[in-house]
Amino acid sequence: MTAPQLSREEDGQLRLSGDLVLRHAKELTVALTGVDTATTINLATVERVDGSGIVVLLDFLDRMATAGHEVAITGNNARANEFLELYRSRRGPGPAPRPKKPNPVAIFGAFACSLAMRIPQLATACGTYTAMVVGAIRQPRTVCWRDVPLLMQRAGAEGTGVVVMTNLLIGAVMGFMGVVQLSQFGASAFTPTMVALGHLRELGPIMTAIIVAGRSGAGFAAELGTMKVSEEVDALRTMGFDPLRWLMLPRVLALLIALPLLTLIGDVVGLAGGALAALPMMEMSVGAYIDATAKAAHFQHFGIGMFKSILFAISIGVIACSQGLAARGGAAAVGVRTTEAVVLSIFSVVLIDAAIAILATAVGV
Amino acid sequence: MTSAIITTSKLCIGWGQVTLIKDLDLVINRGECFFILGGSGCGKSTLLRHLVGLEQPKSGSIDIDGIGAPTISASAPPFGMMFQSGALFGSMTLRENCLLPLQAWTDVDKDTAEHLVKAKLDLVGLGFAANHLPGEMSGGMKKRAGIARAMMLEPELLFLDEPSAGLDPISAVEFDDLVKTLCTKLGITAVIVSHELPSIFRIADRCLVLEKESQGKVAEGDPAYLRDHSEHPFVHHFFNRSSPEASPPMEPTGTIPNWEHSCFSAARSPLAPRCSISPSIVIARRSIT
Repeated sequence: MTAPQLSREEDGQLRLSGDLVLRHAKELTVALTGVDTATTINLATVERVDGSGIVVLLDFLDRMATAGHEVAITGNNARANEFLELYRSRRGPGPAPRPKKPNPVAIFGAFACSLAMRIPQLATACGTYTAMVVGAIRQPRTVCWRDVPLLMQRAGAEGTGVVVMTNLLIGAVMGFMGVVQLSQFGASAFTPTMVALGHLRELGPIMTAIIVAGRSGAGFAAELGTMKVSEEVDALRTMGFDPLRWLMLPRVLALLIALPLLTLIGDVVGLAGGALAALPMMEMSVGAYIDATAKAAHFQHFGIGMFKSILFAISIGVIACSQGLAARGGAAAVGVRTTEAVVLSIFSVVLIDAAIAILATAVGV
Repeated sequence: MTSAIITTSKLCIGWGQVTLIKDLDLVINRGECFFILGGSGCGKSTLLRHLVGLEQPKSGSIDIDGIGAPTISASAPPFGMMFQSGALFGSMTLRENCLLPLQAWTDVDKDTAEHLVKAKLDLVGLGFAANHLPGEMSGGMKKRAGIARAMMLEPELLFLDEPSAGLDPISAVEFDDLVKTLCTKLGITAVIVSHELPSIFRIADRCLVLEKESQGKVAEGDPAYLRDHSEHPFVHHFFNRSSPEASPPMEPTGTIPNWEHSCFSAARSPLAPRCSISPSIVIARRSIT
């Protein structure tokens, strides 16, 4: 291929030669940029043309026309003329501009309004989910029960490894920090109490819930979001199924069973992690450590932790599924909804944890 | 020009123990509008995916424009591909979708690239929608945008997967005209997978008919000739089951009483002055022979 060359002949007309193709579009643009006046362009010696070369030439002709110079094409190059005619005939109006992005004040206003709208939306959602449960009890066949064991396996059994590792390390960190800090006051003997109380009541349930929110919550949201954008959810509706009952309820139910079980495993592993980290640094026998842990691990602390895990399961399941079902558009929407599901799930876990802590303190539990 | 642009030799495609097509010898000539036809599951789209290098054949060879089998390489691909759904990136506008190949494979400056994108979108009738997101467009518009993006690097070869499937008849005809224009005016070779008999008879130069049971080619040639002369039962059935010529004519069976005016759209239809609908609605039924 030869680069396009522009020359001016004795009679004043321009002559283009070489290839008017995409590969040489840059050279052609540069060559034509320097031309201020012309009446004709001779294309007789142009060898190859493609759409891009012709578009650059048309752009030049437009520029000259705007400057008041009508440039004629000569040279009888049939293929170039064919391209010119096609691209000229297909020209359309310019694109409609995209709507401008709103200014920060408008964005803040819209956000404030959306917050106000959340209250009735929340009430509606509560009613809808209650109706979902009532409907499922009255018509059990409208729920996909056979998915529940599989979902429990995905959310629970397959997540055990990461839950065990996380809780073991969190328990170890608590045991280690407990010994280091409490020994400054000569109170290192209270380390088992601190580990038991802290892990059973707070850290065990919350860490497990955060892992489940990031793992299963994201999975549920992405799965249902993809089903929504590929019209599988619409297909369910047209067959008379309620997507909430068919899709959301089994997932919430699976989490409702799997999350407390994972929390239980996490509690046990966390206490073991605390012992593993603390015992080598303390002058305390294994039996004495276990006794101290057993005395501190009242049923009420364990019970509060398990109660929280049930609330976490419901909030993670409902938020993840509702975000997935709210996906609209394409792949990008699924990504946005999945992110939103994880963020909201974790936020709801922290919010519920704080609320229960305040409530428990108020009632003296 | 009748030089070959695609040649396959003893091509076997499939996966694992499954063979979809075996020993396919095929030659597609430059500038042709070539259709790949066949029933569902016979391997049409899979063959297309092999031709563009998305899948590797079990055995045999593919040659595209004398450079061998297509692979992902350090140079621009010598062809463009339009997927059935358009496969546009949902987070980008049409303009940005079309700019992608130019930014990756050419050194044109920003202004020139914008002009090239505008011209290609104008070519497919979507210049006005350059700033639209794919989610804001209809299926037909997405397909046309897919063609515009496929043509950004000026390929001599275009692969189209089910281009007119799911389009209304008017859009389908417009799409066929566009493809035919690309072939005749720009010299592009179009390889099209389709089920749409009207499109095939309207624009195909040649076609390849695949059959699942035969695991490969059962006919190749001019579709009208195959329809009228092929003795292969599948080919005969495929072309004659629903082609317009094969359908029994509609015959009038009565009129709506008290009908005095022309059709409902007459007042606003641009075709009204030359419309041949008589001022009576004909109730028709298909004749049963």
